[in-house]
Amino acid sequence: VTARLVSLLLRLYPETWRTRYGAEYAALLEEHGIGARTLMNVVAGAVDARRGAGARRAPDAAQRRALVASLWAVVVFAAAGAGFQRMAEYDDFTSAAAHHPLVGAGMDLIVAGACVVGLAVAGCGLILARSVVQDVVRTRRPDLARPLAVSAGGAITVVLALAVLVIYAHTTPAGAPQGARNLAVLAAWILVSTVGVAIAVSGAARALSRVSIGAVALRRAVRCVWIGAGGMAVTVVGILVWGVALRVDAAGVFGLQNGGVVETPAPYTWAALAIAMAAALVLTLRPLAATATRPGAARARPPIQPR
Amino acid sequence: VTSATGSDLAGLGRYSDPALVVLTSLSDGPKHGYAIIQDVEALGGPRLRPGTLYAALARLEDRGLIEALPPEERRRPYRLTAAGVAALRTQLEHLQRVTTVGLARLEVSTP
Repeated sequence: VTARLVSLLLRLYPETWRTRYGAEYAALLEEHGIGARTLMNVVAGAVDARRGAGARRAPDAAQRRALVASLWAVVVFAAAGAGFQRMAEYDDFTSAAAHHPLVGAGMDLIVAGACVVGLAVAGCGLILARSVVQDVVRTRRPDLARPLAVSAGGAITVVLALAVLVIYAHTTPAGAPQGARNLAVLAAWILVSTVGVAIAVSGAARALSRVSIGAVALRRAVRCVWIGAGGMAVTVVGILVWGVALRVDAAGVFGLQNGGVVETPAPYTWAALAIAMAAALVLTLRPLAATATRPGAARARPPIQPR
Repeated sequence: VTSATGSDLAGLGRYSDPALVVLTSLSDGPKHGYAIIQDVEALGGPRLRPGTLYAALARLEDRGLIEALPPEERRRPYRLTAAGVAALRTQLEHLQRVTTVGLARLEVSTP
């Protein structure tokens, strides 16, 4: 009866409040017991929370938004990075990077930036995964199960689509890569993968907005996102240096037509990838900057305003 | 950037008293909600009920005076931040001055 009453009482509070305090508040109510006066007090607390909900956001809302945005940004960045790797892996480009110092320096910056992003993603992922596991195991949050299952389903879809593509590539005889069947398979793979990634990331984002994350873990995760943004910035500088230097020092290579399934001129591919990486950087930085100024970034803002 | 002062607790309106006892309770180490309620009762402070406690906790966390630690089971402990320590110290020193002056005046005026 108490658990049902607690669940009903929690519904009186605004969702942002429940997301932040719901689990611990429910535990407190169950431990404290709910008499008549406590019942009135809880209802009054809900009214107070609702009155303040418009003016006051959950203290860690800005940090959570930054984490969710960085999740999407990393997907864009990784897709652009994979595209660049596919574009620059040919001998013409690797040779240009070896013989022209500025092209090589651009490539080094790209690799260094990508490594920093990779480490930051791993660090942030470990911190958040630990919080998720702790929350699921310790507090047995049923509302986390669905978004996590959706996210896992999306990830499995992406992996299966990639496996099918790899099997197709290995079983298809070498020939004209621009054949209609190859293009259709590629288009289908891109479609399925994009949907799979969207499902995986939106599920993870939903779980991320609900999971209980300690202030310290949240601060560390946001710090990782800052580091990742630094890596993205280095990569964007690198890809710009690489392209401009290639245009100046090895114009013949820069003007090459890519010979893959989709034939595109290298300059357009380069420009599209640079724009995608810059977009990922902006997507990360905008909400990240807000964590330094909005309420919720307790360490980064003035703790108290004069009244 | 302003430093934390006790007057910020007064800015919490009707939650300034619960906020002060919550900060006092947390001054000897992190505690979760139920432990704060029990500690405040042991201190002889007002009886905190869950609605009031969490209204105060949310305001204190919102102002960066306390911070949440990772949950233990379903409970989540809170601890003072440096700003919280400063705010509590300022407020207690202010109360101490008022107490000292008030008692001294009573000594003088009481026949």
